[in-house]
Amino acid sequence: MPGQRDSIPHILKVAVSLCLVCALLVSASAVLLRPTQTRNRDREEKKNILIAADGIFDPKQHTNADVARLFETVEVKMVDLADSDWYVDLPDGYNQKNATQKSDQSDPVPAEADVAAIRKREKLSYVYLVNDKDGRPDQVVLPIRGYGLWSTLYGFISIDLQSLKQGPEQATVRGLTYYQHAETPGLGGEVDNPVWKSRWQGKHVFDENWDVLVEVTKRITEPEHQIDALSGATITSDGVTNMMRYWLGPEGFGPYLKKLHEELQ
Amino acid sequence: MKFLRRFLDRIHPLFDEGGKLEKLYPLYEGVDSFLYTPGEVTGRASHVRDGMDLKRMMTTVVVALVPCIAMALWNTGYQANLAMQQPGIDVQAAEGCRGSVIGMLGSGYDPSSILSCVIHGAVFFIPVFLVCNIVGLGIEITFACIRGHDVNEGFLVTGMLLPLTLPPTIPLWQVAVATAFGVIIGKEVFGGTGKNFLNPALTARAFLYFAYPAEIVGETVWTAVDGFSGATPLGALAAANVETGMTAITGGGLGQLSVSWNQAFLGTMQGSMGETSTLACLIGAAILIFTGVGSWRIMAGVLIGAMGLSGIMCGIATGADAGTFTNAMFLMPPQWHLVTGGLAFGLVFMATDPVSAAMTQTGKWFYGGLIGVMTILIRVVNPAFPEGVMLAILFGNVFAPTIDYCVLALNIRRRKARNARAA
Amino acid sequence: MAKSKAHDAFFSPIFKDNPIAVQVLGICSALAVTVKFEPTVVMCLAVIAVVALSNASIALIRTQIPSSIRIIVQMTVIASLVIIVDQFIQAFAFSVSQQLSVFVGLIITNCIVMGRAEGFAMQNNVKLSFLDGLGNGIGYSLILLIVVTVRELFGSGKLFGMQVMEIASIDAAGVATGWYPRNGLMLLPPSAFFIIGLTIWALRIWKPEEA
Repeated sequence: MPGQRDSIPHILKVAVSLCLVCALLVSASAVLLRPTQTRNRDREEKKNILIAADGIFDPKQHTNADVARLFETVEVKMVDLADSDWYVDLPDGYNQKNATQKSDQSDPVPAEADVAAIRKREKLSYVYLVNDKDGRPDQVVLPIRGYGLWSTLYGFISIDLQSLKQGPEQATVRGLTYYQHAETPGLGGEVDNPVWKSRWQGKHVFDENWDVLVEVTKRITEPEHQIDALSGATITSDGVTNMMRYWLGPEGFGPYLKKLHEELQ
Repeated sequence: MKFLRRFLDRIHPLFDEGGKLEKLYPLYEGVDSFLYTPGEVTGRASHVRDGMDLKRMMTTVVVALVPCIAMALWNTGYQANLAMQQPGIDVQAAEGCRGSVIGMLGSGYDPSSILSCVIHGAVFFIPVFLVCNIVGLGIEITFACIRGHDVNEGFLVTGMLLPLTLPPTIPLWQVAVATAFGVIIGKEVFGGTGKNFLNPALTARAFLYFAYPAEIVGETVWTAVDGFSGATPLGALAAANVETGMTAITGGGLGQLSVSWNQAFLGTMQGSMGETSTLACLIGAAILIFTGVGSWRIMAGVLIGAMGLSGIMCGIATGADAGTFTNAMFLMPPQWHLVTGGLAFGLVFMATDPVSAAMTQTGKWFYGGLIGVMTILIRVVNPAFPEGVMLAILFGNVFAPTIDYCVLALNIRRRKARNARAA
Repeated sequence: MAKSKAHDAFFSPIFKDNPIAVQVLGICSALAVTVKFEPTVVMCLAVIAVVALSNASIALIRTQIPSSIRIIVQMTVIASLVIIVDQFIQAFAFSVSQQLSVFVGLIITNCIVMGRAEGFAMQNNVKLSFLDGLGNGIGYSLILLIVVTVRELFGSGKLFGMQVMEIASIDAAGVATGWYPRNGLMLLPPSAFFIIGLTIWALRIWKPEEA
């Protein structure tokens, strides 16, 4: 019997049928569950955007079921960062996270401009315009990322539109949240601390020349645009400052915000 | 003092086999041999002709630590008294019962008075020291009772070293938890004194470093004055940019320290209580080397490793264009590495711990060198930790048995080869 | 006899032959996923499902598996099961799957799963193999639950996912709230090593004959 079991035809037979069965099961589960998974991912992203947008989604009050309803006030737009710095049509199936891995969808960032250590910046980026109850534009949520101590931090920052309308030196932050990072728990990981995040609210972003002023620092001298550093986490704090300088600066969303300011007049 | 001896002799039967307190015999024995030289002598011919036993060895280390402890008492108070005179610091007295003690003694808060500084330092050092020793000895005695062996002097040194490596503001309950962790995980799980492969004092400190980092790193922990913030030289340089370089330590400008090399050598700067003074550590090193308790090979190995690597790094960095690197730590010259942070303290008192160090003479050189190199690597290259001595020594501890094994294996192979030729 | 064999196959890996505490297998994932209660429970369920099902399926085809490719066959079965389980977790426990990230996929490399397939399922019938897989999965989970209870309690002040000790912090108004300072070491993977080590120490003092 064992001799027969180890014969070449038998080995092939077992191998092929096993592969067929396994492949069938795996692909069936993947295909059948895909819609639920996409819905989950979608909802999670919307949730993070709403959390950044001045806490429209409050984990203490709302559940996943509320996300779709709360997101109704948000307009999803696409900005061309490489070219016009203004809205373009939403392309089908565009995945912003994968865009940096594709050479036709991203540009390398020159080393001297790459303060946030992101190496490549996508050409197209989603932006999220949030309207208030009366349908007036209220805030804009921008995706940001940058290197901290151990990892790239991914997050969203929300800028107030009514103050942006009045001029760059008036524009303030409405909220900030990070949804993915691997900083040291208790030190850099405190970027998730709601108290620290709440300190960002109302901080001024720019000076009158659209230079980014908002920063995280140990010694606060100008509280209008400075936020307390995370204690014991100098490098994560600097990383957050750098990512603001990059993404709100001329290489990032700076020109778009300038156009948005003119548009709001 | 005869009555004490008589008292101990009288209660002896209680602790003897069959006595009521038999389980606590190690406690009795420990107190007895702490107070009196044991009466037992080796009956048969003994091969060891040296008076050096564990007790004398540990006592020597404690003596060698005296300069560091003195410095810890004075500098802790001195830094605090200095900080209280800073503009913008509105602190009139130390908080709570510490303040009451100083008030009662009437020593005040004068940085120029040695007595005032020592008393202000003592109210921070002594409580840490007491908590550490009570908890540590308690655990030691408990384990001795359970395992039925004698309490030995092993904890004496650990109990001295640990408080010296902590900042004065450390909460006392954290000292207690850390001591328990260090003694149990660092020593007792491996069978107690002599069987530990990690240095228990450093194990305890590493626990605090990862468990409660907010109380042991940063700028507000080193001086026991509320609202005062002062970085250690290493912390200041790690946070500085390349253009500022070493002026972050010596410059004295806004947000910069003003610590000269001489100051750093004497130890009048921010840091853990006992580690700041390189001078005090050198006196300790002289005592340890003279008495043969501390291995000069290990100390020299650490020194060569640390000075060599930092010399190379600093040499390359000062020659290079400022734009090619962003880490200001590369700019620290070797002589500064020696006097800042805990390198001197670690290399004299921690790396030389005979139980956790390498045993072979050749191995000691490699062991020391490994610690020196790792210290500089962690300080300079790792962005998260401005100080690297603690982790480097623990790393060296882990590798010590492997180093010894390799040294022995090579030696055996060499002798085999020699014998083969001879035959 | 058959009953006691089934009994043995199920219970011995839970206590007597615990894969983590006695055989010291599969501790890699025990370090990574045991910070919070919920992900740990999901991970435990995933491992139980994979070990039990892989044991059963390999026992089912054990007479057909050629010995020359048996390891590859086992790997294929285990890998397929892990992918299916991962898909289910992503669909029905999304936020947990985000926290577990790659560690569900890494069940493929968990020594317990391969070990039971090669060591037990190749020689025993489907029912016994299934029970053995179930027992090993539960034995693994038992230790993970001990670890997560300690880590979550001291690291986050929570017990089974519920806040029992208020974490000390300073709120937006600058007022100190809570009283328990979190232990950061418990949030880092090495703490699981200490807890597993201490658990093994305690078990061996309690039952020295299994050391």
